[in-house]
Amino acid sequence: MIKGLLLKDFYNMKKTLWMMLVFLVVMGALFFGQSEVFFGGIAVFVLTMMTVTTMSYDHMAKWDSFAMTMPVTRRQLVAEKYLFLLMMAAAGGILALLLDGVRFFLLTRDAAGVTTSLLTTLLIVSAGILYGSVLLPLVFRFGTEKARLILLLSFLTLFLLGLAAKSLVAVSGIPAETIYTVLDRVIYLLPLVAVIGLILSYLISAHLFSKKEL
Amino acid sequence: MSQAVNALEIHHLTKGYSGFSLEDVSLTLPKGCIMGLIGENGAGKTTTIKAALGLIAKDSGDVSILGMEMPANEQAAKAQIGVVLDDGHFHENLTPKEIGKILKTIYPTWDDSLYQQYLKRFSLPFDQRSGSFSKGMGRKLAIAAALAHRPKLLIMDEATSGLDPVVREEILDILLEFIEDEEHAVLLSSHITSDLDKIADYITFLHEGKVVLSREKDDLLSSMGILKCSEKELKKLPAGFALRLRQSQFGCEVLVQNRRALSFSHPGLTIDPATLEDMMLFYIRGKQVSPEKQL
Repeated sequence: MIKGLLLKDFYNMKKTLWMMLVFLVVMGALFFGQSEVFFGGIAVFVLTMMTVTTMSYDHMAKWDSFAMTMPVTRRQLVAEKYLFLLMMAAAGGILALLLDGVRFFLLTRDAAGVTTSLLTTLLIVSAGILYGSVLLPLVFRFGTEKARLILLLSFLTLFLLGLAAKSLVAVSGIPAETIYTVLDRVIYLLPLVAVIGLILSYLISAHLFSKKEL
Repeated sequence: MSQAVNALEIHHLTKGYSGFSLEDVSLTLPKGCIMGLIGENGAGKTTTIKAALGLIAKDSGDVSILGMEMPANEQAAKAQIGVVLDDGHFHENLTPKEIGKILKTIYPTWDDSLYQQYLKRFSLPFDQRSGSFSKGMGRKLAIAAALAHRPKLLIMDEATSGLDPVVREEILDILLEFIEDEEHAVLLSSHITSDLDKIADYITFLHEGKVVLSREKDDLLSSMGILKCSEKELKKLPAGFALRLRQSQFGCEVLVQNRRALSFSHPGLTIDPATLEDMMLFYIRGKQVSPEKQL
């Protein structure tokens, strides 16, 4: 059942995904040897966003109500979106690793760089999953258009809060060094946070969708 | 032995919205039959179908599909029904070929060669985006997709509306073929009553969220008649015949039941047979015959 839903999304998105791939390969070439973390971030971000795109396609076709006339449960329909999200985040991670791999063979041959590359990619993929986990319940609740707006506003709020925190730190007199050291450690909790976020997010989405009138 | 299992049973289905409610809808569709669900736009046809399938939560009532209680046996039941919705469809990017591959993984009984037969018969291109199809082609694709897992019950919402007469007839032919198997049944909602005149065995007529009539079509057509008379004649009419009334400057038109009995006892009256469309119009645009006439 879920396989059929995945097939539906991949067939439906095949043109878009090819275009994304070409775009990312060009981006990769441009960023080659410079800011690979940035490239990895972009790859994971645009690919995980594809999950929302599949949902807006579903919405246009009124697919959800059609799917519910088939032997597909509401939970399966929700779970498939999370599976798609994970696959996209993984694909972004693989692209980022590929770029790092090419650099490793062509330029550096630096063994220490491999660990850094793996770790960075893991963090980027976690961030992507966490991002998707925040977004999906919003989409299930409000639809794709409103969800994007809500997320944009929440990012803005987060950004402003960050600025506020920064100035607070400046006032408080704690040395910036200390803060960065702490942040450097805390960031390794990101994968764990992403896993917990993903599970919670699925449960919330499944609950929201279980009551939805289709 | 227990009695034969019906293809679809809906008992006392109720669903309230602000401004519209489905009230106490009941219908029974035996196997081997086609039931037409008729009513004006907004009468509750789609709501009835969606509530029966669990797409929207019902407030109360019982639904059983092929003898399986809903929603307890929802998955098993849905594996054995084919549904064509008025507005839910396949994504425009998908080709019939891709749709086949998708549904194959969803329906355990999917029959790919049957699917291809239908596509061929409907002259649907295998590798073309379904978004480029005309409305008629899209509907035929939906029917091919709904029948290819060999369902026992086919449910079609607004099956033939918006289609040209040729496509409509093609679809009706497919339904008649499907129903040749005595285990099969079709529930068809439409506001094009002439299509149902041709193929339906049972008619359920919804009006403002309530079932006005649910009977065998032949029985209905042989019973219902339109009486043209003056107000004076209407007052003299024996009780139990008149159902609905439409008045104009030229006199009254009355929808009557048991029209043969009425013409037998009152040979002077002009009573014409009523079509399904007439009945719909009498219920929607006419008014109730004053109570003393109904006693």
